[in-house]
Amino acid sequence: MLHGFGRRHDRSLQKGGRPAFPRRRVASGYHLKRIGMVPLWSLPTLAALFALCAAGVAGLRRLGMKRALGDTAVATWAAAMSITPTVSFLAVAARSSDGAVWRSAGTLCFVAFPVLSAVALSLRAQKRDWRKGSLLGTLLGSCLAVAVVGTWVTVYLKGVRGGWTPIEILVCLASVWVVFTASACLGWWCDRIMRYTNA
Amino acid sequence: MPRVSAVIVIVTAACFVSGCAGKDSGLLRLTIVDHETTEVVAARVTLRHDSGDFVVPVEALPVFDDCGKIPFHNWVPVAASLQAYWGKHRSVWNPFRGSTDFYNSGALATKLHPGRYRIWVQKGPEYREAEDEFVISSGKEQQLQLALRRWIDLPTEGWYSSDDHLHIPRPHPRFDPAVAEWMQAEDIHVANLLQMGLARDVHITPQRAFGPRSLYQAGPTLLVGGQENPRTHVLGHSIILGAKSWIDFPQAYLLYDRAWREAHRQGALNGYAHWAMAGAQDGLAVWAHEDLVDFIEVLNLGFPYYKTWYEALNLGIRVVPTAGTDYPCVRTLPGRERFYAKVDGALTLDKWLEAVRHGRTFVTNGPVVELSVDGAGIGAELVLRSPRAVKVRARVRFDPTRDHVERLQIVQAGEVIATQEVTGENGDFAFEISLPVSVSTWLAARASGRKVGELPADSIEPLMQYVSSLRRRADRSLREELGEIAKPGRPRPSEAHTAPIYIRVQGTLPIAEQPRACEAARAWLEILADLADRLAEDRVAGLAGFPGWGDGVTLGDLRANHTQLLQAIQKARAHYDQQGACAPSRSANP
Repeated sequence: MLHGFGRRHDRSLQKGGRPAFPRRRVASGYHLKRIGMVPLWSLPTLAALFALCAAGVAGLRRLGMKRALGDTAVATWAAAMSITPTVSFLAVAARSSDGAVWRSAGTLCFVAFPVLSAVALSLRAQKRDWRKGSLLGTLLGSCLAVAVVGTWVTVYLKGVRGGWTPIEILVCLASVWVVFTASACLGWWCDRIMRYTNA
Repeated sequence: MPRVSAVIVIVTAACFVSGCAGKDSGLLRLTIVDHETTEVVAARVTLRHDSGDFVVPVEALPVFDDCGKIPFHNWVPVAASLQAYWGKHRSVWNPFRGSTDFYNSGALATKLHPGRYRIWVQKGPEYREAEDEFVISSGKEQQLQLALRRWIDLPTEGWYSSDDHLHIPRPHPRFDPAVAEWMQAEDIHVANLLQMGLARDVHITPQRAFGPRSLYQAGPTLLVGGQENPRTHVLGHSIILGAKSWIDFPQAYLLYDRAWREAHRQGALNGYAHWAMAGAQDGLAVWAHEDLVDFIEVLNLGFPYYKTWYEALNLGIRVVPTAGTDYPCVRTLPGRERFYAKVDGALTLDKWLEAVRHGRTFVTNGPVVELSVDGAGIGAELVLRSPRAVKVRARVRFDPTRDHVERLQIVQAGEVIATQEVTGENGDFAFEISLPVSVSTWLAARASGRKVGELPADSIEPLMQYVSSLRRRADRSLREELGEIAKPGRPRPSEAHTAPIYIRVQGTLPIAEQPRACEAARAWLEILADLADRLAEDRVAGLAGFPGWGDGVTLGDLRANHTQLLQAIQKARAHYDQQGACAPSRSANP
């Protein structure tokens, strides 16, 4: 399946004879690599945006304060369960000479967040006998958060051993926490039925 | 429901029709052999239908490209292989002919639409191009054998080719055979596959290992993992070849000497890519006097630039010339610019590194240039007890169907002392002079001309814009220095240059203390002063950012390394101030 990328080019070439080599940003022969580096403040901005969206949906659904805070607490716990081991493993990776295994373990914990949040929110609702929210929405929302944070961290152009300052670490962790929590809640509250049950 | 049925019927019919259309094709059985050995050999193929379309069969060898993709694998190591596959293709753009080519292992059986085809086969600069025409008829098989003839066999003379600058990903051993076959198709013996670093622990084009641990040998072809790191617009793009591990100091990214010292500790070679131009000139001025720089890539991106290298040699710093392509980050083909290193006996990585370390190299994009002084070969040091005349012999060999070499020159201490117009059409020209040598010096040979049957060269304007955005004083005259190269639409240059032969005349001033060294020291002192100015507190912010080639250097990185960098500059200034008869420079640069 992975081989399809190359073959797609080849087929187009065999039929139309178009140059099959990937189109590059070429200016008169030189490939100008402009890898954009995003500023630090963009992550808290994204986090605020996610939080606003989640608050907006909570308002639209007319969730009670108790319900909203309860779900948020569960999502926060799920985020902690993902972020804490992620940071721990990455810290070990930064100290080891070949940290590929630790880096992979950290990434695994990071991308496990959608499942963690969906399970946690679901169990909590079951325990409290609350109406369940959207499991699919939670999974999709959390996946979006993972993708957004993952892409941001990548284009911030700092690797694991990249000399993260305490302020950077603090801002990033807080923002990721907010993004994760808000995205899980956003997805969970997407279910329209919640409006009727909580109205 | 009827609509769905109709769609299914139409799609099925379309598939049937297209399947029938496939039956109209004929079969091409292509074999590429070495004319002398009759062995099947890998090569690069251009296949063009009469309609003008270039054809790339699905059976072509895969090629891999990863230059500037978002480096997810820095956080997710397993993504490295996925990214390499993401950059997998079976066609390559040939900017020299304006064609779309493909690589073949030497035996190809593929279906082609009926019609007349023209085929060109190339395999590096040592083989003549093979060319033929054939017709494919519907339902019939066409056998075609093309024999590649060598016009020169450099490995039998001990010279092995290398591209020191390839950004081909090799994150897993499963990529080795395919990449090795690709390199064989370009007749590259030592392919240095470089992982490219950005500031703060981010890298591109991942390699599975480095140096000896990364070695993969397939016949006469070696694949070796290396690094282009540290790599900044401030102090240039450095290359480390043969180190046993990835060398990176993210917290001290601008202090290149740390990486270079570690590389030397590991038995590796340090050098500068891209002619040591622009920021690299600064880095060279700061650290070259500590014998940390072993080579400079003097032939790259389609043209040569020797000024910085000559200055280093005149300062007594024995820097070896190398060449590389930076493929696929620029529009070129692997091995287009390459260098040859002379190895004793069979090719091994250690012997090759030793050959480069001792300067037994010449760089080329086609011609083969030779030099000897009183029988001493390239990279040697000739010791004379007293001043006397030496016999200097230069020779150039080339394939006249691809290179038109116009001049063969002998360069002494950076000055051309003899030029001969290359005459005759057999692609072999030599001349000999008797040269009186009164002081220690160095000699090299240079052949230059133009490529035959190629499209005009790409404009170097983007490079000029990038260089000017660095606002270095030394670059103000760069356009004039480059001369013809900077002109748009010029023919592509044909170029070769040997590493120097050093001549030490006992009892005379060493190279590092001669007037030319003084002149170069003065130039480098100005470069250092300019760098110190740009690093000054009120101007340092202007050095951060991305003037074209992204490297992730921020103001934070500059500030973090500021003090040590200024100390290194100060140390270098003190060194060049003390160098020989450079008294006037002291008044110029107090």
